[in-house]
Amino acid sequence: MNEQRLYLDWNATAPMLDCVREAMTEAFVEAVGNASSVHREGQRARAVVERARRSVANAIGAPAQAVVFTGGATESNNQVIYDHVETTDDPFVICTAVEHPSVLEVVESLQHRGVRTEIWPVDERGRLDLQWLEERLDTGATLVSAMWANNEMGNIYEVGPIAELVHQRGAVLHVDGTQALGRIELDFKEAGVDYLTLSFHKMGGPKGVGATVVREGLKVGALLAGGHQERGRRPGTENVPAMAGLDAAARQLTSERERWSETLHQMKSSFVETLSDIDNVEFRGDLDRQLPNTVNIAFEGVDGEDLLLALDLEGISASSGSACTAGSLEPSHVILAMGYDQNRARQSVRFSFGPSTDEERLVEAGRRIGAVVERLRALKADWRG
Amino acid sequence: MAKQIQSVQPSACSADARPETLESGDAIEAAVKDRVVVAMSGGVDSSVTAAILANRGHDAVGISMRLYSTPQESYTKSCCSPDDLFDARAVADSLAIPFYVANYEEEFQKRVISYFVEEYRRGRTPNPCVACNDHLKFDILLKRSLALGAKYLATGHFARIDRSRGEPRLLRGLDRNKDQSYFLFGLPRKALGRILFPLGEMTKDEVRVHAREMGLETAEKPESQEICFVGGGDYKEFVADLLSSEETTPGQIVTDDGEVLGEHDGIHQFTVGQRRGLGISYHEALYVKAIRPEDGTVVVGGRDELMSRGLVAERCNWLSFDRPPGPLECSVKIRYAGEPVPALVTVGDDADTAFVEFETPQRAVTPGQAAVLYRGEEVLGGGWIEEARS
Repeated sequence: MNEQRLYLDWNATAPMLDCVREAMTEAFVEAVGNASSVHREGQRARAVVERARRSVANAIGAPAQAVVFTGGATESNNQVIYDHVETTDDPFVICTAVEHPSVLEVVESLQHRGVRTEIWPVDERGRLDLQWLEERLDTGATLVSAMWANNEMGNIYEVGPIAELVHQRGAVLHVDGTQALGRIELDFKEAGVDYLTLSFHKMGGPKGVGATVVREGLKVGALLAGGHQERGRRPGTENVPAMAGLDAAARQLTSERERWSETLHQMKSSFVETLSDIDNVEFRGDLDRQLPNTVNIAFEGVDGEDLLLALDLEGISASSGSACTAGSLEPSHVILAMGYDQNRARQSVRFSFGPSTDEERLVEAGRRIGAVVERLRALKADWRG
Repeated sequence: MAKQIQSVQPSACSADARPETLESGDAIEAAVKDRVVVAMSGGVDSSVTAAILANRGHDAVGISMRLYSTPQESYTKSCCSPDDLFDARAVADSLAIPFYVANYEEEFQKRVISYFVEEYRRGRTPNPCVACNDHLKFDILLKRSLALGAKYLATGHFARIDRSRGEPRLLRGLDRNKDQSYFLFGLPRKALGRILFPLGEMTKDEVRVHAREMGLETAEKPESQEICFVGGGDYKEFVADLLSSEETTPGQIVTDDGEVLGEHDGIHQFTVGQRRGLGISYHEALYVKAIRPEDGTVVVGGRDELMSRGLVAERCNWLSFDRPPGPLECSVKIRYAGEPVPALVTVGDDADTAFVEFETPQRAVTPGQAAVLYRGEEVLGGGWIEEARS
């Protein structure tokens, strides 16, 4: 990152941790073999992969054999849902209205194929109603997909109670843990999750690699054919340097997670305090249960896209909505699901940060955001009415 | 329609002044440190515009407007398809300037596409480029540019803004084959002070040469000629597809004498001056002379019958004054592909309506097109043609 810029878009992706970069650089040189080869080079590569598996498992409270490496959380989400439908009689899939597109669009595609599906709605703060789920489970739902934390609002969902409900009715629970990782504690076993999907790049790990974590006694099949890797569950030569990066990220997570959470809470409260000084702001999402690194905010009368671009030119990177192929912004499906109209939806701007964000600069950014907001509001009043 | 005409002495002006050389060109006017937003379509003109400003050291920021969606598999030659956005991004990247895509699909649908279809439905011939300039480029994009802290919005139009005499004046582009000032008559007067047209003093050939010299990815990109959102297709089909059967007005094709020559299934298929596609055989070539939306009648006649002595223009916009100081001896351009012709123009009380009398009768005055008034190089203003006056 450029010295003068402040990167506040960690929920899109995070700057790489030093230890991850070092581990990967070393692996590019040292672990040159194919992890499936029998020779010493192959053995060294295999060791990297298996070490990463143990570290990842350890970081999230899962047994090592539960971890299947994939090409990222998007692939893992596809894998879990499609595999469930392939291997279940009379499947009925439910996912929340605020899932990542790699869940939501898979579920929509199933619907087009005639599979029974339903979308679990949220209220105006993005909260889920357990009773709604209970009723659907009684009508034969077989898979429920609910994220641990939402990327845009930062809402944290109570996975434990959902799992309990799902299991009582004999269904299985898939949880996308990508945004929660590194920000709050994830305990796979204790929460009772059946399938957990992860990537590590939003906490400083490598991109293009992820994991599907499968509860003991359950299975997951491969999306692709053509190789025995990952015990036949993910064919393709292992990306060994990325595994070395995962290993480093997971170890760092295990040793630093608690401290990170504390740091983030502290930073967030200072940042929110600064932003609260700006007139007519609305903090969005479930403020009682929200990630300590995420602030979703609307400034009345200011278009989110205008603000986002103006801030970028001021050296502050934030996010609003999601970008399409061509790079233009659409109002996010998350805020629309919360019942906002297009105009109010367009006002949402998300700031997300991480443990290495400088708190002083974050607070300073809050003041600069206020100045830009005031400038935009003044302009709106001036220009041609 | 019948508004009081002001009786004021005609103001002296010359209709055929020579092109003026500018004391201060657009890009020189802007201080180097100023932030300038460049509207980048992905075509060669706006690419060169961006390159000129970036190379002069301005704080240039590229923005592409996404105006409509094209299916991913479609392959169109016009601007604003995802391919064009990628081209614009590639140019911005090579110039090392920030680049954004702004989504204005909703506004474009409302202000340009709906207007376009509605005008044809009413038997008029719309000008979507003017509508896009008025409502998209020089309204919402200009506002966004100012929101981004820019002092100017620059586009690749072939037109000039003279700032040497106080109030900025809109002038024709020096390349007479490319002059696009006709499409700019509707800009808010206040906006002229915030706009740069760096290509105004160049010819199209010079723009290409610049693009090649600077190694821009878009240097050899072909011109986009069609109406952008219609793509390579037929605009009549495009309009017909968007109209339900209740929205179309069928009727008769008649001569001025009332002789019925045939029938048609919707006035949206006709344009004043049109000869082809009338579907009737007659002993002389017939042209559409007038379209009557009330009963769907399309009046046709011989070539000579298309001449009009004048026209009435509504929703006028004035660029050189708040309202004309009196009757204007000036020249008027009634279609993009045509030269300005001498005329006397008077305005109604509110300066919203203009009455144009041509010095010599003009062919095929087309309701829905723009009537743009010039005095030499300067664009005085203009309005939307409401009806021809014989």
